[in-house]
Amino acid sequence: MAVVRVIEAGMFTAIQDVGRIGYNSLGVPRSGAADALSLIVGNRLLGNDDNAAALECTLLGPTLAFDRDCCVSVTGAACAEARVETDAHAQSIEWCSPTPIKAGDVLTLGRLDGSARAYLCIAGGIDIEPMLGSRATCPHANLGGLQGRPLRKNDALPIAEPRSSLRSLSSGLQAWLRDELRPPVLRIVPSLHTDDFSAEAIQQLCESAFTVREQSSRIGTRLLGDAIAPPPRVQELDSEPTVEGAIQITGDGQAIILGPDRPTTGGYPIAACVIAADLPALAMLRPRDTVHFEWVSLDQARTIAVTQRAELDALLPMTEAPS
Amino acid sequence: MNPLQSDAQPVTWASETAFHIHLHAERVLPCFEAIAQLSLPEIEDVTPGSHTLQIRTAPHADADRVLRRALDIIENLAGDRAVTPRQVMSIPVCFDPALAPDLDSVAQHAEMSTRAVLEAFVDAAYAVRLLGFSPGFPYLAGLPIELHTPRHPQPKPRVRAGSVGIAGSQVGIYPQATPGGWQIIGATPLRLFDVTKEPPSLFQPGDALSFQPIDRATFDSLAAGHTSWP
Repeated sequence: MAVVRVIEAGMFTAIQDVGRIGYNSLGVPRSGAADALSLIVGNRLLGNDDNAAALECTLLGPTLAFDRDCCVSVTGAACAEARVETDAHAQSIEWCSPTPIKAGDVLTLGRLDGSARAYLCIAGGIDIEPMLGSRATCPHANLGGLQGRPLRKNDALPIAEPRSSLRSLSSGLQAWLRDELRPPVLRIVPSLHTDDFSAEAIQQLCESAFTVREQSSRIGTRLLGDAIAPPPRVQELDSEPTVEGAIQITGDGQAIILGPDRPTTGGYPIAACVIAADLPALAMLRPRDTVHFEWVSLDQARTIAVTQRAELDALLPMTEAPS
Repeated sequence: MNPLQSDAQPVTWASETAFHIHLHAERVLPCFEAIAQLSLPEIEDVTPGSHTLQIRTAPHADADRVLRRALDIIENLAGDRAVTPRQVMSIPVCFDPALAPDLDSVAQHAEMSTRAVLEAFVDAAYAVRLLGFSPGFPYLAGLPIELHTPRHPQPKPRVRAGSVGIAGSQVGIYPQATPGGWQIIGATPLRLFDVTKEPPSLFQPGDALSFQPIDRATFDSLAAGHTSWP
């Protein structure tokens, strides 16, 4: 089995797939790629299953040594410094395109440009033992990945045998993915407590600009903006189940958008929810970025999701299972 | 407002793929069991909350159709249907002062002696209403009203795994060492969440349990795995 060795781990690099489904009622969050669209594109480029495990890299990517000929892809954030080096030569890695690697090569992802997260997929996928049906890392629950933690120097990542050949790159794919990851605003739908907020608070949500705070993580993206008045309540709410993308308003009127490692239940009022098709763009936000919101209806949100999936499938169909 | 919403069963969408059915607190678990047992492919997750049942539909399922189906199932449940009866689990808990940093403040708040607090605590019968916050964390109902204590205004940076705490009317047990704001009155040596087991969580929604006091030596022996709890 091929093994990839970690020379430098980067800032926060962790194994993710599309996540852990069906354990929410036991308090287990979905985890998985914050931007599942980029993960799926990266996997399809290499002939992997959509759910193959890859590396989610945050702000500064890892440096990896390969012991076999292999193929990789980089999606999500652009990575201008990304390169493959041998003793003899260095070659840059094109974003969102399959890139062959030779045994003995060293891959350096470097700094991510402008966005928070990049996905490094490897043909065959990272072949660690799944936990509760998924390889996704959830550090605070000690689940998945390598003992539930992000990568460290000298870790060895087992890589499964690649299943099928590379895909020919469709011409519109890169421009399409770039657009999907950079919508001018995040679209939101009404959620659990929207009707409990004042009309002013609801209007404020789509008219104000918000800034992403440093304390943001995969648990939640914390925003700073003019305080939004929480609904009048005598006391805190009883715990109710949460969803990814839910916009919680805390006691000080600030917003937290719940991420893939969110607490599965929460007691803060939920003003709105970011639509599923815009979660990839949310995952790209970095501290100090500005965020705007725009209300859409549930039906519009569903249509947008169906369209996004149809466009993806047209540009880059799902890898067919071997016959 | 959703056109499918009926007067009897108010529904709120949490996102375009997940909805909450609002229920009386005592109906949440029977409805959870009835829907979870069906294992429908168009349902990704069913999660009980305090006053709602959340259903997350699979990404490309017809969400309105799933809602109609779920409402049908719930409306056809007998109103008085109880949760499938379970054996009462006995959970060992040690009240050694080193494991109970907030026992004194709970006693002060209750204007009771610590001994009276512990007697009232272990005499009560508890039920798992839901699991949430982190993997395997049970929210228990059944705390005697005189022991209701507000949580700390600011969470403590670290609560040890196994800690048994009070927040308002609820009792919770921390499966992992995490930050937390509950009033900690003791600790259990049992592992609450273990992915090598099926199911991985010691508790399931609807479980009934009681607390069995143990001394520090028993706690240490159980925690070290030298003895096992029946």
